[in-house]
Amino acid sequence: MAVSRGYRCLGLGGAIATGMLVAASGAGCDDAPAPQSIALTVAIDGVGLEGLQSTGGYVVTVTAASLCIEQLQTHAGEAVLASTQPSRLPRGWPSVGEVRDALLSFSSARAHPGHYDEGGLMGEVTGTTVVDLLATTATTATTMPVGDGISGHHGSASITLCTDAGPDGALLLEGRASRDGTDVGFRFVVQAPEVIEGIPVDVELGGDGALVVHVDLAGLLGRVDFDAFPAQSPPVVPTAPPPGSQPDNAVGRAIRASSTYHVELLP
Amino acid sequence: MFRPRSLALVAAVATTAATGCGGGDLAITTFGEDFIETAIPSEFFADGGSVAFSKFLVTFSEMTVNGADGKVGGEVAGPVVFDLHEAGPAEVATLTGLEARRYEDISVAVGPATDATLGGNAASDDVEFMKAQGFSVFVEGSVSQNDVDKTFAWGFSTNTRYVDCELEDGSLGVVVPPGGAGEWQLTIHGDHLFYDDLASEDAVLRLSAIMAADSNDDDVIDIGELNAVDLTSLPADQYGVGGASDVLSLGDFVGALSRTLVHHTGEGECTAEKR
Repeated sequence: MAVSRGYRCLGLGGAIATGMLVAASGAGCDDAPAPQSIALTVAIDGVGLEGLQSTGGYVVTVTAASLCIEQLQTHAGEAVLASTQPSRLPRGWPSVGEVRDALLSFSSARAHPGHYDEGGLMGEVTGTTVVDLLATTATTATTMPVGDGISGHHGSASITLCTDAGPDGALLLEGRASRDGTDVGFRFVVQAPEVIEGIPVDVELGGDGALVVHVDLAGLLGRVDFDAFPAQSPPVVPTAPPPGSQPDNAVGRAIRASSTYHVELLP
Repeated sequence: MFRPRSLALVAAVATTAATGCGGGDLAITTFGEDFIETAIPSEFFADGGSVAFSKFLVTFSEMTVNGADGKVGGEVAGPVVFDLHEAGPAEVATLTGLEARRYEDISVAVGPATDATLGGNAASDDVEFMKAQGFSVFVEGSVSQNDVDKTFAWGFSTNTRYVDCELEDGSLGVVVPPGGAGEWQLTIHGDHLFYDDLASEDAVLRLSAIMAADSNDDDVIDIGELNAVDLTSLPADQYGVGGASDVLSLGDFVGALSRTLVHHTGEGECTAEKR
């Protein structure tokens, strides 16, 4: 952990310049290839909208969803609670069910909470990027500015959301939840939490690489108790939940959870 | 060879260690430190309060000692129950006549007690209780906060294998010195049950949500009450689950923390594999 802090302070360029990445990537071993500088591209899209239903039985229709991201870093260390088995993440563009199954399959962790061992910095992509999570599809995922990295195994990622994102916050979710003839309009504006660390990646990059981050909208909204919103009369309009209420906490927790973000190689 | 601490344990042990010139021994012990034996004082909790355990039972099994090159050191099969609240360190077993060297690959399981489970330093009644309940971990004690005292008795049937154990300095496994004895201490960190995050480096010990879980206000916090606390009812910056999306309640959360108790000889860490 102490080593990775050094890399973070130096920045990737500094780490390469000083040769520090050699130790992190295993170069110097007899048959290990030397790490190479690579270009790293990151695309972002939204998943989990189809058939979205809350745990309370509300059918959720999202009419606006945006995420503002400042930086994504990849690290050599395996994600906390990531499987030690070969990746079970679906290849290609996954269905919502596949994403959920993969997210639920993680089975091991360092035996110490709070001790995520991110290891050496492997890649860094920086540049404020606002993603329309509804407009993005397999072919239209929003791409961040090209970043750089080194070849080798990228085990985990961290995401920094926009800390100065304006009135829409780092995350905006707007829409309607319906159950038994009751409609609830919702509008969540969530400010950026601390850096979201320990997102599973498990990707081997031999050269220039492209990753895609699937943001799980079902994970963000699925546990919201829409009964906890103040009563609304038709026509319902997007309404913010009371601060500190269950809906507010549910989305606030979900944006912090690494399981909300699923990273894989862009096919 | 294996030198058991009781005759009863003999049958549970696989003796695979080699005897040779320049061999040494490896003592396997377990220790609950002051936090389990005495108390976790208030200065360690972000929101105040304290915890005192009166019982801390752990079912160990499958303690293996091997080299990274495949060299087999030895194994203690168990299962065997220890009460970490008793003064320790307690001797679990000693592997004797091992080749003197580093054994990089050591592992231990903490899983549900079975009919074959034996007693370590735990009372026979406690061993029978663990077998009957199928518990891997059972903790009992009291929590105090803001002049309110409550008790708890929580059992877990989680099954976890701790692998890739390294010492605090990062070195893997244990060293058996020639003509001497190395030590592998299964150090149990009881404070982990009160951490408020499964992933964040900023995790702190916290009691308020656990105290508030006593919904019937009988001053006994039971597992059912912990299970009834949906994590979404708690502040968004507490009880983060990282990638563990199946952890939904405070009971799930404490259960997940029960998979993080075992450390290697003090502050050394292992990787905990859920199984």
